[in-house]
Amino acid sequence: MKLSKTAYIITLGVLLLGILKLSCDNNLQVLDEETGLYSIYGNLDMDEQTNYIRIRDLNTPFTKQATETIDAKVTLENIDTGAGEILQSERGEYQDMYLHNFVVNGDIEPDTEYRVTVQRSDGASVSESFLTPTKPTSFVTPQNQKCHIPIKISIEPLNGGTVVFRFGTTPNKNGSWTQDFIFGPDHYGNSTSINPEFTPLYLAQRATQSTSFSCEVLFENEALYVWLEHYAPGFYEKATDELDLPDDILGNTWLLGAYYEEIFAIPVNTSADKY
Amino acid sequence: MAFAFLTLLIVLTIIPAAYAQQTSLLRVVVLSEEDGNPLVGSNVVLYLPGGERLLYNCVTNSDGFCEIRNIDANREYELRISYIGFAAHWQKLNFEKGERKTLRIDLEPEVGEINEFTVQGNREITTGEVGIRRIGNEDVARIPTPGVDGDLVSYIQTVPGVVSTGDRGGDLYIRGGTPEQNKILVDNLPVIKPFHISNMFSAFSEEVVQNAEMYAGGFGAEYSGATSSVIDINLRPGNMRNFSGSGAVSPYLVSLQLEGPVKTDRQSILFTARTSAIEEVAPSLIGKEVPIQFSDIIGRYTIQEDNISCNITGILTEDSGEVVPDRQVVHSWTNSVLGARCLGYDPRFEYPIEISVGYTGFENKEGTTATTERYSAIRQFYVNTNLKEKPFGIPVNYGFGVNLRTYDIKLDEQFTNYTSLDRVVPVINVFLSVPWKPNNKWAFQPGLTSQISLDTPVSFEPRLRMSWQPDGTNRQQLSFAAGRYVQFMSGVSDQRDIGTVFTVLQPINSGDPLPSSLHGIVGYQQKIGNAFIANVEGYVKDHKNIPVSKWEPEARLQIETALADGFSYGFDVRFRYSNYPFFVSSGYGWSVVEYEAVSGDLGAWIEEPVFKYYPAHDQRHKLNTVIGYQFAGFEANMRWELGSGKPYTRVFGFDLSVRVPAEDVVDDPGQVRTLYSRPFGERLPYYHRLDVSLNRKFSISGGWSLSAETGVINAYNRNNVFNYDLNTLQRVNQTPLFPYLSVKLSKN
Repeated sequence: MKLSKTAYIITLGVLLLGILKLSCDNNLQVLDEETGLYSIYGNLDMDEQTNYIRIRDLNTPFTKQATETIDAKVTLENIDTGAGEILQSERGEYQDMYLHNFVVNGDIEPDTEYRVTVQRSDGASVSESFLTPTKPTSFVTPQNQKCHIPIKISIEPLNGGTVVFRFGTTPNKNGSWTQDFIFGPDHYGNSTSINPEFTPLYLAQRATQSTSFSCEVLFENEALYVWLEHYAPGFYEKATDELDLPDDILGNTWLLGAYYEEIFAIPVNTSADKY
Repeated sequence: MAFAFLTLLIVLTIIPAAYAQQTSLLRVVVLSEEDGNPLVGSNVVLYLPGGERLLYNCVTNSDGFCEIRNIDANREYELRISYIGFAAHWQKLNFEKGERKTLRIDLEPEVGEINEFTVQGNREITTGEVGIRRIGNEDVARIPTPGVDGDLVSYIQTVPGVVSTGDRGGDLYIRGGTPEQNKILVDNLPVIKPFHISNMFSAFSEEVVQNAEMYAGGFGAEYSGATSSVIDINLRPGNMRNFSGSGAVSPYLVSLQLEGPVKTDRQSILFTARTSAIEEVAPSLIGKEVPIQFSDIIGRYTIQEDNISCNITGILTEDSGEVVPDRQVVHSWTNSVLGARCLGYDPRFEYPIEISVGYTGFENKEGTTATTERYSAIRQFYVNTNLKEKPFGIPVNYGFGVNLRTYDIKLDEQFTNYTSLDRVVPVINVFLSVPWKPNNKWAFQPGLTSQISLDTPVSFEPRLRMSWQPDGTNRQQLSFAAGRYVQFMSGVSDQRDIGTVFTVLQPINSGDPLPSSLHGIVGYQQKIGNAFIANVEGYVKDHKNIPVSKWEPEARLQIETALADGFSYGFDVRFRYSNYPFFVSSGYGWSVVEYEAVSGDLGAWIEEPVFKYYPAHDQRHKLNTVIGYQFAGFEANMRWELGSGKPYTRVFGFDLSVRVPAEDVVDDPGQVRTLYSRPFGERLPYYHRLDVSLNRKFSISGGWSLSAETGVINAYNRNNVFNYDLNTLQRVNQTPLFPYLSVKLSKN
């Protein structure tokens, strides 16, 4: 087949135009704006009436100009009841940028599924849901016994959350406490309760770094104090995961959950001086 | 050097004349009458008197030397030596049985038009042009460069299949290989990175390059220690007859050159020094900072005695500056080379003997202007010998060498496997190849090279080059090359960031697999008339065990490496038309470079078990066109390059990570993080650039002359992207429109 001169010129022209068209596009889309939208960080304390959720637009650089405002509509929705509210933001400042914390007012219901949705003005959005922990009462048996008598702490019901205990001989949070004793779903499996046993004497020794065996010496306040933290299902695991080993990058940009903490006393009988 | 001479002397003494056979031998050294320099690629032919039939021929190498063997004695011949641009030499010759003649012939320059192809010969390559790009200094001169003289690296970047990261950095990727997989030789002396931080310049200007050969792959057994390509450069000797000098000034650099005879026609010196000026000039010329500095010094002492030629070469280069302006990260590197290459062709030798010996040092650093945070150096002492024999009538090229390498690494934080290293590693290499030409249509050159070192297995590297010339001439040629290639060292740089050029050069540890590759190339070349030549080549390279940076979703300073396999393939189409006063050449290359690695090794957040990706040097299309025209004493040149975008990694986001509930979103700002998206998941936009130049030489009285060149780099001021700097969050473009005027004053 022999191309005519005109056909040859047209073909060449089309090819040239194609090349020019390809080569004219000089835009560089460095930010992955379609999947990288917002990061969400927040810890909703169920004993507080005001909580905050940090939202950051992942596509804005760390400058004041870029972070002065945030293009985000943040809603918190109670999935169980269907009730939802649009959260308002409070702007903070850190070095050369602004931070945007969205305010959650009111009670956070226990054992309830919530969803946070962050929507950009063009409709693109990300949402994360989480289940709040239950709020059971703790039962301790036996009470007011000598410090070498083991005690059992029963907590029920649990809904998959993680309970963390630490023990001390004073209620002061800045005082001396034992290391964490963690009871997550890996520990209690399909059960809805935990019933761990502890010996107050040993816990007090660990908390105070003492070698004394005297209940009177160890328990000046005649009580063992329990600092209990109860985390929403999955929250503790993610909060304590190594930052640099994420399973997926999207999951690495949110850390959101609920918890509560309390400190309660278990009376200890220190009248019998000798162990 | 002393060792080289001593070795040569020993060889001279111990090789008995008894090797001599009863056939006759002619050895010729062809020189330019003008300056006494060797003429590379001269055709040396023996005819019967008055006859047209060619009986014997050879082509001169970089020393201007070639030899013809097995000449029938007791006959009279006509010797004809020709070289483009020089008057041919005719001479009658007689040979007695067993006679060995050595002739030094001077050719006189001839004023006239040059419109045929120059044949350039360096090593004895008779097995086709596949994978080879022969580069003469006239090729280098045609590429517009903001200096009076052209530069080798500017030319190399016009070759299809050669990719650079942009207009700075000094790294070349050749047909899928990385800079660390290339080997650069200057008169057989290795140089690690002689390319300057501005990619328009290297240590090798048009003024010092005699010729160069770029083996994009499929190179023969005489080359070892590179898994991708070899760039073999020959520098020219100094003028053997007259003292001359020149000084040049351009916006980019200033240069000085001196040369002349130490002993007329026998010994000469050549000295060139260049230093950059762009850092000082750029703000006023283009209105922006170009914070780079570079310089180079080349000194050369050449000896051309009757039976021996030696080149003693010293090279110093220095580069420093910010590859990405405003980033406050300074890169610097230095090369230092001192060595000698000698070719002995005394009639008592059955075959010429080539020995090279020397020292090569390379250091590169990264840090701030005040401190060095990363440092890596390699220092090498080496001696190599190339020999020939003809046992049982079969020609055999062989050689051996010893290379003593010292690695020195000091790092502020972990980079690859080290924070510091100081190790000496000897490497011995041997090779053997058998050039076999059963008739004037077929040629074969099988070969084998092997490297031996401590703690690593002996390498086995078979090679084959072959060609078929259907009509018995090189007007049509189908050629093929294949082989296995192994490196006993590797280089690691942070491929996640093209704004860094720091490279850790490291030995292969005991038990680690050796980086290796398999090459296969097939090519066809067609010449039409004396003015047109076309060439098409297809190639494949299969690389194993390439150290690559581990990818983690979060940008971080420390670097760990994983091993990847690389597979590259593609084709080039080139043509060249040269008919005085017009010249045009064009080349298009299509290529694919694909790496794959186990995801768990490479990065934590890749979902597939094996992650395949196109690395940052995978440029799919590249088109280069060079046009030259001479008129009224002027020479105008133009180069246009179009390249498709190379892969880069998008930013998933800029985050402040708050570790709730231990940290509080109200009180704690969080940890600043830059998160990567899928590695190399996007491509940069197309790149294209037009450079033009116009030059002329003006003769002044008393042997003085003035050369002037004016031109524009990036003539239509295209905003070609270099990269997007994550630290400054700014797009970094390549050279904007850059006009220049350069002048050179010479005294001959």
